[in-house]
Amino acid sequence: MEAVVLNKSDVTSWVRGLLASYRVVGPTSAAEGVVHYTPLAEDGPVVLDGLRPIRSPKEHFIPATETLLAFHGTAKAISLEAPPAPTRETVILGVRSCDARALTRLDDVFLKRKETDSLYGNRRKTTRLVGLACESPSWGCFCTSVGGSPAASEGLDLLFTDLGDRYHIAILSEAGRELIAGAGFAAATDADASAAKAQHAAAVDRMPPFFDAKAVAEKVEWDAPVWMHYAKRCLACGACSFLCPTCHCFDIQDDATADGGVRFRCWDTCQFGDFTRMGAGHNPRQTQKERVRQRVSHKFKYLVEEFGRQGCTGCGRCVEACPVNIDLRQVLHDVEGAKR
Amino acid sequence: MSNLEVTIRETAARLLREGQVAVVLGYEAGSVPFRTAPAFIERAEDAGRLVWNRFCTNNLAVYLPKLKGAGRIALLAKGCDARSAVTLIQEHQILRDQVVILGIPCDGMVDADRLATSGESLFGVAIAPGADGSLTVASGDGQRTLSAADILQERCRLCEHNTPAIADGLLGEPAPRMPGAAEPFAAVAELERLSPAERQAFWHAQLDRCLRCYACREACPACYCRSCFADKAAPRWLSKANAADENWMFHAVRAFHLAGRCVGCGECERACPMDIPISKLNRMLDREVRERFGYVAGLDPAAVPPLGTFRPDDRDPGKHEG
Repeated sequence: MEAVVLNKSDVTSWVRGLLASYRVVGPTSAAEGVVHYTPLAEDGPVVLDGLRPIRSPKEHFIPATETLLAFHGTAKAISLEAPPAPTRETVILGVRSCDARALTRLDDVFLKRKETDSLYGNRRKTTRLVGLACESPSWGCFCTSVGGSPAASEGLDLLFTDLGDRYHIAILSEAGRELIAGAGFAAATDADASAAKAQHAAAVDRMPPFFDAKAVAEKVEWDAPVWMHYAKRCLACGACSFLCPTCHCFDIQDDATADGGVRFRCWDTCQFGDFTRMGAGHNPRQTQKERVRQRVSHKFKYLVEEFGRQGCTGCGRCVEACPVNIDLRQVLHDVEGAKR
Repeated sequence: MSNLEVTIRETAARLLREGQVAVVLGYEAGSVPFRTAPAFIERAEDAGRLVWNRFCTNNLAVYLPKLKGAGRIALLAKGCDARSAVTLIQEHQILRDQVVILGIPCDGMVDADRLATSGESLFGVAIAPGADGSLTVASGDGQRTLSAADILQERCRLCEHNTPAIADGLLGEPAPRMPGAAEPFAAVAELERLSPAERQAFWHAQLDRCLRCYACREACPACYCRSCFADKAAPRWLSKANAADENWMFHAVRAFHLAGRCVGCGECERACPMDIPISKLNRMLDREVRERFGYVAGLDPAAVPPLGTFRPDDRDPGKHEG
């Protein structure tokens, strides 16, 4: 694989160079140390070390709230306005392997069915992903249990590996190559390549699988007692879904006044009681048991049946965010062993 | 196993065996050593699953309204949890004789985030508690011993009622008062020094990252409304759009609904995946209620909460304070 190296002291000038041609998004540390992906300013710091950020880059593809159309005027003379299309290409830095794989799962849902989602598709087409191999897993991580690894390259254009004073950069696509073209990076030596490989192997070794995802898909059952076991303590909040890089469900609403307004979509989750409530009041998922079952079944059975792969890449954010310690790794371990 | 843990298991087993309660609400081992999970023990032989350690942080009173109809409930209650139970009793969400409050004197719960240094992973760590209140955290990279008292959650450090104020029996000796108990409002002193405009800017910045996942609301024992104003579609009080001003509206209204009812258990803030210091809003209103009405929430089941009633001599800020 073709690769180059970049001295850490040269990262800032490389990012500045990118800013001339691209909108650059990267992990930044907001208040209270919550690291998330925000557009970088000319002189802004980039956080390319530390554990996997609390928020994923998902919101740059499916924003928490997104205008679908604006409408002006009254019933007799109403005009519609489409939301603006992206005008600049975006580069996202410091993307973890789980999150890049997660975008390929969102592609399944938004781009591979009969109807495609143009807003999502436009963002995907105009965004390049620069990955960063994880050295150590955050405590909820389980990428190796769902076919991934801390240094998986799926979905990425470049993959950075931290070699101490410099980064080893694997070039994974033409789009990636363009990002480093003309920057004058030295080619990676064999020693650099082995160091990167050794680091990837060490990171994998730290994470033995928690469950067998293939076995799980066969064993997700409608009437299993496991759902009630976890539903009892589930508080029905949306922390798991809203932090999940593959959860993608949304609601569509209008905010309107007498002479105009916007139609927008916003994140929604199957964990909320209202999610399946019909206009006339009927709710097919009456209790939290059905809702817990839905979230797990969707990711580990229904999407597997539809696309041949899970709707989960093991980022572990749900595990860490759950206020009542519903640890998806444990849930799936139970499903696999048909326990509870 | 600590003595208290033994007592908890024995008490739970006895209550279930004697048929005094249908379920014991307690804690069981979590998926990792720095978490516990809420446990619903229904058979005496399962009482051995119950644990007691510095990570029993959840306020289990949140489940009392959900368990309506399940029979008599034994609630393992730290000081804060017991106060929440009192609030629920006052508000008729559970009948006093349907809950057995097993009071647990509490030395404070550990803030699990502070077990690791910045950027360090807790993946695969083991934690061994010492009899002296220490915690030894061991990972592949080595081990270190921390004093639990040094890494408490803020709400615990400032707790005024760590020994339950109300209980149907205390499982252990009353605990020493917490170090910050004399100054519970230290947590908001810094905020109060800000001008209204600065405060607004502070909250705007904090709530800008709110995901509207409602973990704060769902983890709150006092937020038991079956239909929250935030979810109403007709009339719609709040847009579902995630915008800083809508987020502010949600948190501000929730804070007002909790004035004189919030017991400061801090579960809202702990549950928040974005680390928004939400409980500061509640603490400021707690202070207002204490100053204006001389009332502290969750101490007396027979008391009438000030915002649940009207008295002609209530202080009227509009009239008396310009």
